[in-house]
Order: sequence, then C-alpha cells, then structure tokens
Amino acid sequence: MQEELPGGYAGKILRVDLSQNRTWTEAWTAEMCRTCIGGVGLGIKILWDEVPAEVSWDHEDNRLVLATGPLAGLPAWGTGGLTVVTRGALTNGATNTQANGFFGANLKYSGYDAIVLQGRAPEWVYLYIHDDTVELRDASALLGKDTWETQETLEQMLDLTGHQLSVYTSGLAGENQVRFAAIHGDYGHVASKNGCGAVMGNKRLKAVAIVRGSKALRAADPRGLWMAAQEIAEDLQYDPSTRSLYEYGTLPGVSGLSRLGALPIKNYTTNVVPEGVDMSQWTAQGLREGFDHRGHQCNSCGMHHCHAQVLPSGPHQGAIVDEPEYEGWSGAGWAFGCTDPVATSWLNTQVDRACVDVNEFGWLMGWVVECQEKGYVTKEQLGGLTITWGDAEAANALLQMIIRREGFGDVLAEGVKRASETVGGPAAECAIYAMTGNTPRGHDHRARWEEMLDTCTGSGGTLDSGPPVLPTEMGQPARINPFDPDAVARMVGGTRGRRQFEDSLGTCIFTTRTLLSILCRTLSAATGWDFTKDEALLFGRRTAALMRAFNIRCGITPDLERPSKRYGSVPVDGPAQGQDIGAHWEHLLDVWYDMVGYDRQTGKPLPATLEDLGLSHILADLWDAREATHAGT
Amino acid sequence: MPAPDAPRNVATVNAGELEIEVVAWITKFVGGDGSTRKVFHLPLRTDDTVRKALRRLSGRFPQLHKALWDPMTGDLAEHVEVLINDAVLDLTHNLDSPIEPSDKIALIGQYLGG
Repeated sequence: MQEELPGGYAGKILRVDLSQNRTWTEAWTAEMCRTCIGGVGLGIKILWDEVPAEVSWDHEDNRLVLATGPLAGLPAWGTGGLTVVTRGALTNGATNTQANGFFGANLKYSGYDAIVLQGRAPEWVYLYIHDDTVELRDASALLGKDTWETQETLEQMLDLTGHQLSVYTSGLAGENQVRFAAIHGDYGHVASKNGCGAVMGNKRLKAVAIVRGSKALRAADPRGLWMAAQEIAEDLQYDPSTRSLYEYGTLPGVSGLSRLGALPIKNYTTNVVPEGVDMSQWTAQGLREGFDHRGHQCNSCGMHHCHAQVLPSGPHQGAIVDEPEYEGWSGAGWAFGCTDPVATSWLNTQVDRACVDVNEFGWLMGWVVECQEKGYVTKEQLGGLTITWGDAEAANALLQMIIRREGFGDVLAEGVKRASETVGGPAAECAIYAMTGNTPRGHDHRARWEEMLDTCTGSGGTLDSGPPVLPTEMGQPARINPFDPDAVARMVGGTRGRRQFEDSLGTCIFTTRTLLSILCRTLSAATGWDFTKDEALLFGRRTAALMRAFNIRCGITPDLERPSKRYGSVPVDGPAQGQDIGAHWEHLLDVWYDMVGYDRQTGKPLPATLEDLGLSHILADLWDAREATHAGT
Repeated sequence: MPAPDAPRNVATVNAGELEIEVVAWITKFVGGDGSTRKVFHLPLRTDDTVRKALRRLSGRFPQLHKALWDPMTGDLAEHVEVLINDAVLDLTHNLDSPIEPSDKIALIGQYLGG
C-alpha cells in the first residue's frame, strides 16, 4: 500500500538521464519529505549521495537539481520558487541559488517536486514537461538564442502564451560554458550563482519548458494555510521593516547603501558619489517613477516588487526591459562607474538576456575598466575596444564577446578571479572575488563585514546566512556595530540555518521576511506536520553542514576562506574610510568557527556537531577514527 | 566644549539646534512621500544624548516611533540605520553619547537585499 505523503507535495521526483535519453520518476517517502523538505535540503542530499569528489562541475555525472518545495504552487505569496543545486563552475563546489517566476508552481501542477538531471546529451535538447508527458526534444532551433528569444521561440513553437508556459534556459552563456553563466526564466528571474548555467550548458540542455500542469495540489489544513499566508501578507504590507520591500522591492538599496559606504563604486576605488550625480533619481521612487512601468509579479504574489519598465530616453528609447533589482543597478551600473539609470537598466536586461550573473559581471567590468585605464590591459587585447568608467555600450560589447568566448572574451568568460590571475602582475591585485571562487554580492562589503565573512566562508557559492532577518528571534541582538569583529562573527554564525530553511520551501526569500515561527506555522498547515522554529533551525544548520562536508570532500579547504586583495582592502574615503577588516580576519574566523561548531584547522564540521545535527552517518566520510576522537578537544 | 580627545560618553551641556536628516524611504514615517529627504532642526537641551534626541523626534511621529524602537526592549530595532556625522552608530557615538550642535544625525532604511 502506498504511503500517504504530507500535504503540499506533488509526490514524485523526475529523473532525467541526458546521455541515455531516459526519464523516470522516484517517489518520496514521508520521512524523506520531513528530513529534506525540498529545495536546497533535497538538492544537497542528492549531491552528497551521487556526486563523488572526482566528478567535477563539468563531468557528465555531475547532477543538476531543479527543485521546488512544499509551499510552491500553494496560495501564499511568492510560491513559484526554483532552487538550483549543483556542483558549480566557479568554486567547483556546492551551489545553492534561487529564482522565482512560475517554474515551481508549473512543475508541481504537473506532478513533480523536483527535476534531477544527469549525463550529457549527444546533441542539444530541451526538456518538455506537461503532466505525464516528459520528453527530451531537439533544440537546434533554439541554439544561439538569448534567454528572452528562447522563451519567445518556445511559446511560438508550442502555441502557448503568458503563464501557461515557464521556460528556464542558460542562454548563449550556457551554450559556451561561461563560468558565471546563470539559469534564467520567465523574463527576468535568474538563479545566478556559481556558474549553474555552465553546468546546464555542459549537459547540452538548452532549456526546460514546463506547461502549467493540471494536477491537484493538496494542503493538509487549507484554512490554516490561508490564515498563515494572510498573516505573512499583512506583515509584509504593514510592518515597518518590510513595507519598503512590499512597495518597491529592493530599489531603496542604492540611495541607502550609498550613505553607508556600502554601494560599490568604480571597482571599490571610491565610496563617494561623484559630483553632479542626481541621487534623487536613485531613490526607490526615482527608479520606479522615472520609467513607464507595470507589475510583473511571480506566481500568486501580491508584492509590488517585480516590474517591467520602458526606457524613456537614450539610444534604446522605447525598449521594454526588466526593472533591475538593487544588484542590477549595482552590477550593471555603479560597480563599473555607470551612474545613468536608463543606461544601467538597459544593460541589466542585456546581462539577463546573455544569461550571466550580474554581480560577477559588475566586478569583471570594473576590473577591465580600471586595468585599461592603468595600462594593465590594452586596447589591442580588447579587440580594439576602449572602455571607460560608466560606458554601458562598451560593456555590452564586451558582454557579447564573453558569451561567445571571442578574443579576450574567452579569458573574461572564466570570471574575474581566473581572468585576473591569467593577466597577472598588478592587474591581479585589482580584482574583487573570494578566494574560494564565490562571487561577492553587489555591495561594498568593506562596509558590510558580515557579508564579507559570510561570502568567504559560505558553502553554496554565495552568502550562506545572508543579511540577518529579525535576528532577535534567533537570540541575536537587533543591531550590532558593523565593524566590531566579535559581534560580526557572532551574528553571522548565530543566524546560520534560517536561509537554508527558507531556500527549501519553494518560495521567494522576499516573501519569507517574517517571523520564523509564522513560516513554521505555514509549513505545518501545508504539510500537516507540527513544525517548530527549533526544527527549522536544526534543519537549516544540518543542510549548511552537509554543503560544507560536500565542499570539504571536493577539496575546498579553509586556507581559501579569505578575500582577494582588493575585496579585503581598506576604503580610502566615504563613511567606512579606514575600516580594515584584514586586521581582524583571523579573529573573525576564530569566532565564527567556534559559533558554528566546525574545526578551525580542517574546516570540517566537528564530530559533536555532526551528531547534534543528525549527520552521524557521514562522520566516517569526513573523519578517521583517531582524528574524530581528538577533534574539538 | 570637551577637549578634542575627551571621551564622548561624558555628558556635557549643549545649546543650539541639532539637525536630523530623514532619508528617502524613512520620510514616509514623518509625513513625507518616501523620496528625497526631510530635515528637522531640534532645539538641544542640557545633557542631550542621541537617544533623547531621537525619542523627541519619534514622539512627534508615531510611525517613526514604531519603526525606530523595539517595543519590548526600548532600544533601537533593526529597521532603521542611524548615522552620526555620516558614521554608523557605535563607531563614534552610541545611543547614550552626548550630542552637540555641530553633530548631524541621519536616519536611513535598513537594506533589504537582492
């Protein structure tokens, strides 16, 4: 007799072997649902079980997990979530990265909670899913197309429009295995971290196209779910901490971070807004109302966050683009000195269409401009191109070279760490990256020490903890001195686990900015469990520790947990002038390691930590018996 | 006036006005539209501190009061960043540091990532 599953689950994991042109399904067990939940919790279990050390990111046996979670497709805000988990191209370690849109809902309505891809197709294919019809189809008509063109072409081929079809693709960057290629879908939603799109391209998978399915999805307690979802929605609309997010998404970031010295300007060479820049254009309202715009919401979402906009002026006047997130304004703008909102908005969509991570792109452009200005990279190397601070058209020309791996674009396609190491000399000292290969998010972390520590120690290709959300609920102070190394490390270590829990639910992290206890109530209503805050944090920390264990097995060791020279440099001006994180780096690591229960020398989760987290079964994979006896003593 | 290198946590007598700048989104909590800025000039009182000045301003605007303070502890909540002379709180001043007419306070919305 088939075991009854918790509510919220479609009940099956779709397996696809691209080498063998074979698809099959696997059923969940109720126990697996509770221990893995979904998203990154499920994905990292698959990586740990199925991707051994010798299977590098570009090996055909690498797994690409496209997962939803138990809340995806249910009537709560932002429940179209996609989590991508794989062994990624930038770190050659674990990847945990999210996008939204409609993927998660459409997949669940077809009867699947996740897709696990393995192998490499002999010829380019796309994966078509509609209920029980699952096919690998010829993708030759899609080759060479960018992300938007791929979606438009599939809509025409399949005679579907709007939200009937969700398409995720890695664009031209994925086809050419650009190391920071992303996976993009539904016109503006990007899972961008750690070169997950390069993995997709390596598998010769051009796209995943999911028709909105027709299968029922059941919540265990529909009334309880509705009430919890309503509580979250009211929190988002009326709580002072989230009201700006509800109305404007991440747009307030530029003006706020510029006052804190945390807006990255011109490759970290300054933190002072250039004279003549009208910052009123860069407030949330300036960025929203400066363009004709309309809402472009994700599945079942009432936030006024995602928008499409029309360029009001300039060489591309009239073009419809995706309203950039804060990180788009930063990576396609300020990071390389572009302070024109219209040019930045246009370039941000070119980055999305090309399908690369906008953070890595920003650090790369800033590095190229500075290197050319200082004579470290010549015009000849750039194929006759001159790029100066803020030149969006030249940046796009370089972007097109990168995604085709043309000329110097082939060097830049490896990402800023490897490109700067290839050029060498003083150019190597100007590049912004974490030594693990993790791409820093789009801020100046020299004024946000929490995020620099989190980026350098993170196991998922980006931040592991992220900016703290309601930290007092986790026993942490409401605020800390951002330059107090002890407080910083305690906050990063002490808030660990919440992010991994959120990333397993199948929702958007912007619609989970509420109390953890409310999220647990929502999950419980969906599934029928009695899920508590303590269980959520235990789950999150277990997931983070398993990612860490996977990376240790991949050879990513603690000696890499530090910033590059420029990334860890001292700001020369602005509000954080003179703050030197490098002077405190070892202490930050000491405190952080102590907080999370990992071994400071080897980076491994300590045996006692593994036991506390319910991971005793992997102890022998990480520690030999003699080491285990003495570790942590 | 204290000597230049005197500890800032020693209360002093102040006179004059204090400037508090409310930036962008936070202006919504003080009757603004969420864009640009609003600047308030508060008369300084004897033994004024950062906390007392902020309390006086938030006492005039209930929405700001709700956003600024944690109702359980009475301390600052995490939703609003406080700058004193362009430096984040705790660098040169804490909540109980005395303030002078030359000091400028700015209130900025907490960054909500992505």
